[in-house]
Amino acid sequence: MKLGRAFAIAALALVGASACASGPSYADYQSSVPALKSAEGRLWFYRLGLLGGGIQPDIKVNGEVVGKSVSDGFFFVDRPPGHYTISNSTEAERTLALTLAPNEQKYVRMEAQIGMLVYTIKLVPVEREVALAEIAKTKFSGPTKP
Amino acid sequence: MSPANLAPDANFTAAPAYRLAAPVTIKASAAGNQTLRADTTWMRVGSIAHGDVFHTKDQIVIIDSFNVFEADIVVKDGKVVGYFIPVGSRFVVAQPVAINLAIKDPQ
Repeated sequence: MKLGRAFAIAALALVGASACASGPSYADYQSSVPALKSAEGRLWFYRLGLLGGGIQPDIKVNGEVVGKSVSDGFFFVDRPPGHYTISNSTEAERTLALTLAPNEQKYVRMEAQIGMLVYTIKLVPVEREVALAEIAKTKFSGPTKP
Repeated sequence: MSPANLAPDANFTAAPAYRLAAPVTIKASAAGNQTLRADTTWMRVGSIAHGDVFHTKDQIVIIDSFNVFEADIVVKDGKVVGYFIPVGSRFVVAQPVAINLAIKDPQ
């Protein structure tokens, strides 16, 4: 049983090698990022590394799909100020609850963690300086073209 | 976690009003350990039945469990007694720990 699980995890990890973000790098994309409207806030999402790369759950903001959690990928969405619950679901739903203020930008790292059967994605808020350094290693994986 | 109704501070402004003199480590079974950094600035945003609620923009304060929640701290009688989660208005109890939040000098 343990062997089977190990094979499953290994297989998912291998799939990850071909499941990375393939958009422009953050450095290339940066100049295309639209200015934030003053009445809105921005949520950045990014994921580092190949761990669990075959697992690419939808990321939802208050139940609305805004993108996918893709290895070495980033994307962002703009939303009005307010309370938000960000969620994703693999074998279990994991959430992050946060508040967005006007003109505020928040950064969410999507961390692959081994679950009972497959990886789950933990959503962790990250401070700006750390996040920008980490996003610089990723590529755009958002639903819209730059 | 338990429900908690926030009574917003009538004098609330966006300007930070308090400075944390020394780091404080909060321990909560539902949230793990978390250290509040010295020299961070805090504003009182209101109160709940458990105490006064303070918020900072200088560091991320979270309930770090299977799910993650941004949180404010709840202070009563000079001690942090727990967290307030704005999304859903809930209180999470912590081991009481002394905190020195000093009013910042007016600029």
